[in-house]
Amino acid sequence: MTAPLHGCRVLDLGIITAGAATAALLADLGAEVIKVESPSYRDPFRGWAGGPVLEPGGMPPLFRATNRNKAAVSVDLKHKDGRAAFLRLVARSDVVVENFRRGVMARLGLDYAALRQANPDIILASVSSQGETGPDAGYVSFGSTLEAVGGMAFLTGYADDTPAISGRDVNYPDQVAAIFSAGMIATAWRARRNGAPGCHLDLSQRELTSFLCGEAFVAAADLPRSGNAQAPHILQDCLRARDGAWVAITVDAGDLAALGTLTGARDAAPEEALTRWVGERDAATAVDALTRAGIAAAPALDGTGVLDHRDRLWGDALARADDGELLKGFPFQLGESPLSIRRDAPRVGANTSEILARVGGYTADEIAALAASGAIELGESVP
Amino acid sequence: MAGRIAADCGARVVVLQPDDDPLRGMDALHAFLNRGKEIAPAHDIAVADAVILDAASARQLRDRPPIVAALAMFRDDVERPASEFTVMALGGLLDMVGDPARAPLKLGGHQAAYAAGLAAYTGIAAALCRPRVAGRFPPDTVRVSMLDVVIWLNWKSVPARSDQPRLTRSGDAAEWQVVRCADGFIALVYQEPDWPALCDIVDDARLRAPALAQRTERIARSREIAAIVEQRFLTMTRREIHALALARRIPLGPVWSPSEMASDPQTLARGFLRTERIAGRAVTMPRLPVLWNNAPLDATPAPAEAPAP
Repeated sequence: MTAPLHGCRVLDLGIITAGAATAALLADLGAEVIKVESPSYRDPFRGWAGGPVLEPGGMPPLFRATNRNKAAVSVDLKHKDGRAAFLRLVARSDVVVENFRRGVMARLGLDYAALRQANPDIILASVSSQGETGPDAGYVSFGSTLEAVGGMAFLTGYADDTPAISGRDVNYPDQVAAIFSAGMIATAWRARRNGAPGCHLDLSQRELTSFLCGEAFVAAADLPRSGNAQAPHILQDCLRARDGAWVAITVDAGDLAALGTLTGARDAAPEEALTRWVGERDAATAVDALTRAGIAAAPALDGTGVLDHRDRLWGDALARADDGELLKGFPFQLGESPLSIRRDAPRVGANTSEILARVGGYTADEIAALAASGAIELGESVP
Repeated sequence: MAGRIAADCGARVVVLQPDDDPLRGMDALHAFLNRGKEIAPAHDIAVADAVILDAASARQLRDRPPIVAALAMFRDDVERPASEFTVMALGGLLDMVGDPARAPLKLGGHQAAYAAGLAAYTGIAAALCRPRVAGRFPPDTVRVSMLDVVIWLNWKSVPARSDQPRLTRSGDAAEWQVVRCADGFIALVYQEPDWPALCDIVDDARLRAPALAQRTERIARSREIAAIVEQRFLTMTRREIHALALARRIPLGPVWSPSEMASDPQTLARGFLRTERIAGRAVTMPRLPVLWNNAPLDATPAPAEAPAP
């Protein structure tokens, strides 16, 4: 069966994680995604090694992961002919994704009104930190900033201690933004095919972060931070095993009898007995005994430990590229048209001539003239 | 969560609520997740365009609707006692949050379950993009494994290559961490280019030491830097720090509580939180975090039914 977004053409101005990963997910779902960079501006992720030192010409794993399944053009949006070339691509595309700082698209003369003039049916997805409007629209944020201002950090932390954030290596709001934004874009594209006009999607990562703690807003009052505890569970926490590893355990009312048999805990507050019982065993032994007794338990793994369970407990979250390197995979899978990495992330402007000819309708001579003027960059000449 | 988003996007969503639904009695969760849905004890699933259910029930379906979103804790048919919390442990997410000397820590709320809901919605939305054939959507199954979702979110901590540095939680030795201020807390978040502006705001000669101009040195001395920043921030309120961060374009994050956010100017300007009446009670309800041509999608709110007594 054809991929669900087959026939949807996306111009991807997304950078770093939130924007680029949104477009990557659309590409995974079968959209034709064209990454747009510029002779004077690259996706900053191209320069974030985030891992081992690269061989000359190597591509950083973080960039590779968020840009697979895409083609790439290099068009200078500040050059009048480059801007005209981009708008010609807009006229023949369905979606534009961007996550620049607010105001950049307008300064480039590429706000929604300008895009709509080129293509009344265009869907512009603006993935921003705090939204297109409001006094904080220009407030610079990274993922963990949004955990703070969005209410999530207030809810995260050890009981009676300071709030906590997911931090630089997780940057949680940037990750979830891509899943939600891709879903909204698919929704908008489907609506347009059913006769709705083009639209501007104003996707605020701060609002998404808050939405993902939505019940805390519905609750009558702020609740204190409670560490790992959570209603309606009788006990939920990580307990230290004899070998120093942490065991994550969730105990519900229905588990008390089995827990009593296993650990000797005899009352409805089994924390003390369970803590002692786990502390007398290695983590693997404790987890094995608890899960055999039907109690939810697991080792609190680090990234290497996670990898040890691949193919047994999980599979699609990471996918292997052609050269064997593991890349970020997929947050869900489709039975009829499985998501896969079909092509590696592109080099800068790798498809400039082909896209400008096929999609933009430019002749070879026109493309050569655009390249000579600096309005575009041909990937073949980029090292 | 997947159904809540679908309802906000205009789908007719029917919750088949069993008598032993654990959400019963958990008012805030129930009201948030079921907003805009119909709640019924039974319904003919086959007439729907899509059904969202657990993977074990999905396998039992006889007359299936075109799109089936099957949610599970693990891939395929793996059965093992698990909770959202233990899945976050297996996905390495707990290991990334908190203090290294203390227990690994979960993020607030139900992040693993909600993120799985986002994934299910996006899969359904994509599958519904295929044109109908003879009035029906082409069949597809959206498979969501919560563990895969958690690992997908936490992908940077899983080493793509064996020589990749190991990542784990670093608490008060982290480059980004939460510090105190006069009236609460600030998430100390900054990037390489923000360092001079941060030094200006804090205005403490110790931060301007030449050695700290290098990020490697700053990472090694993160605890010391946070203490200096906190000392200064303890003389300033969150609002004052917010104003400076806005003016100097530094990504510092004042920690607002959910109730404080209700009167936050950004929240108010965008109409993100609204008061709705549910079961005769006024509650604060977040709208779907997207504006579609400057307007919320659910212009005509359909409040969730009252939970059964």
